[in-house]
Amino acid sequence: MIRVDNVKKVFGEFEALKGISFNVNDGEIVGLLGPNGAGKTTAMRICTGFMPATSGNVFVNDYEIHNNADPIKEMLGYLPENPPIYNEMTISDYLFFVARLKHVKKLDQQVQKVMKATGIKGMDSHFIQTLSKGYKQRVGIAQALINDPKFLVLDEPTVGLDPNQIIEIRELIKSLRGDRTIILSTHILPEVSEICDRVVIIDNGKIVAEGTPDKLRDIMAYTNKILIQVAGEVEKTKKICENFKGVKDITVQADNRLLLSIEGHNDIRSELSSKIISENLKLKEIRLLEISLEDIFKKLTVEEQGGK
Amino acid sequence: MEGFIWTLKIVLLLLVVGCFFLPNVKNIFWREYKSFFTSWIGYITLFGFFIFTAFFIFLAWKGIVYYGQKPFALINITGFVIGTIFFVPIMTMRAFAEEKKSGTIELLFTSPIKTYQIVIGKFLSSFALFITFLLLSLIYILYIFMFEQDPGADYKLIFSEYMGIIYLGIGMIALGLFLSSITKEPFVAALSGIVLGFFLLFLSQYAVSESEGSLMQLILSELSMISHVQDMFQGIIKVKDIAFFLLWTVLFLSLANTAVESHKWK
Repeated sequence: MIRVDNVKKVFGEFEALKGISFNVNDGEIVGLLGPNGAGKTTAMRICTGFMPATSGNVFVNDYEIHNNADPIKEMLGYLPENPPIYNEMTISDYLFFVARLKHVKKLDQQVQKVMKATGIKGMDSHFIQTLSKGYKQRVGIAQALINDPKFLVLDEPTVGLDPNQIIEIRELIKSLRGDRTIILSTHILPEVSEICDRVVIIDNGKIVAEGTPDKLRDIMAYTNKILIQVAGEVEKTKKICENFKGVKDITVQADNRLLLSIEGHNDIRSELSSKIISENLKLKEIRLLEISLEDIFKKLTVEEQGGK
Repeated sequence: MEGFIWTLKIVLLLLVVGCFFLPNVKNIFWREYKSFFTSWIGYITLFGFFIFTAFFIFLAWKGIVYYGQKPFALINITGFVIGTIFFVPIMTMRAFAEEKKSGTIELLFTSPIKTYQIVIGKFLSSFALFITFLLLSLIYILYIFMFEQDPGADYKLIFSEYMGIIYLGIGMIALGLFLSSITKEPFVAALSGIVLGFFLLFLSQYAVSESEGSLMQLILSELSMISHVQDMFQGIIKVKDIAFFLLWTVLFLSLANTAVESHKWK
């Protein structure tokens, strides 16, 4: 378990983290989410023991990270935003170097294992500088896994990759789920809902929301919207909707579409569709527009900025 | 001769302790050493040093340029001194600057290794590389002994000269590593190392021009690394010269350690 307890970090005049606290339970994947400059990388660097906090503590399995740095670092895997690779080395030499650095016992076995897991098996003698960005990222992940870490910290693992590579890396991270405790930072929101068990949203050095992706959606559910498309007679449909209980606001869109804002958690689709059909209108489509994490994220960070 | 053996003992002790009793140092040492030979900068530095010193020796051998007190000094010290001042900063420029620039410092800082072990590992690998340079230059000795009836210098003098160059190399490596630790740009580290090296060389020359026995002459010559190897080149070993290089190396490696450590706070 990783416990971040009221961590503050100040660089000169700039307060990068303003006292953040969160837990990551064993076997859990937690996504650290936030816009650029929110403090994600600083938080992760403190969690890995790369830099000390100005105040507050990080505990890994109840051991304070800065006073027990070496034993904790042996259990830790870290992929920074830019993979920490030596371009002039071959993949094999590099992984052996990192394995020795992390005091891995069975070197050959472990190097072969991570190369297989990250899809770079058989590429031992390839020089890292000749690899594509996607493969460099795989090598970066391989080095993070070389010591079979109990704690894995991944900073923007899919940044700069093409769509196919993103899918591959996400699948790889998902396959690591199990007894590993993973902290993952990203600003790509679908990644969080796809991979993470829990989300911690950071903005401007503070935690603005925390919970499962579903829970965060539920919190924001009052903004649920319904989209209706009819074949003609938009104004008549609009009038029917305006008089319907639970409809808060209506916006007319192109192609005879109406976007309805609904109060609370009410799903009024069946009643509303019956009403529209009973009025002899031709209903082409009616569906609930689920709020995306993007919307939650925007709302939270905008609210935060507005509140400053 | 005794001084040379003494130097060898120190160096071997450092290598043995570093490589066999500190596995982390050994790991850093080999990575650095091997990496040097898989990058273009390694070969350019190696052959640059080789050709540069060969050129100076050729000039002296053929009597085109006259150096030193001997009619023909077997090892042309001027070439080696300038070669060391010029090529050692290039050799050490990437040591920390590149780690910071490429982000690999994050790997080192999140691994169970102490900063001083990284510094010692890099120092020893740079030193081993420098010795590789010098071993390559032994080709000149063999060649000249084969073709020259009267080389003008005996093997004892050659050993003394090599010892002086080794001490100069150690001093320049420590300085180069420190300069590499305070910047993210390898080029800046190399350039500042070369400029400082030549400044120290001119400082010793300037000291000679000062009035004999004056305080200024004493300060200038004691500050310059070059002044401390002059006697070694003549086969005279002084404890104060060895102590100077020992202090110089410890000072700059400690400063490098502090500068690298401070990166954690930025």
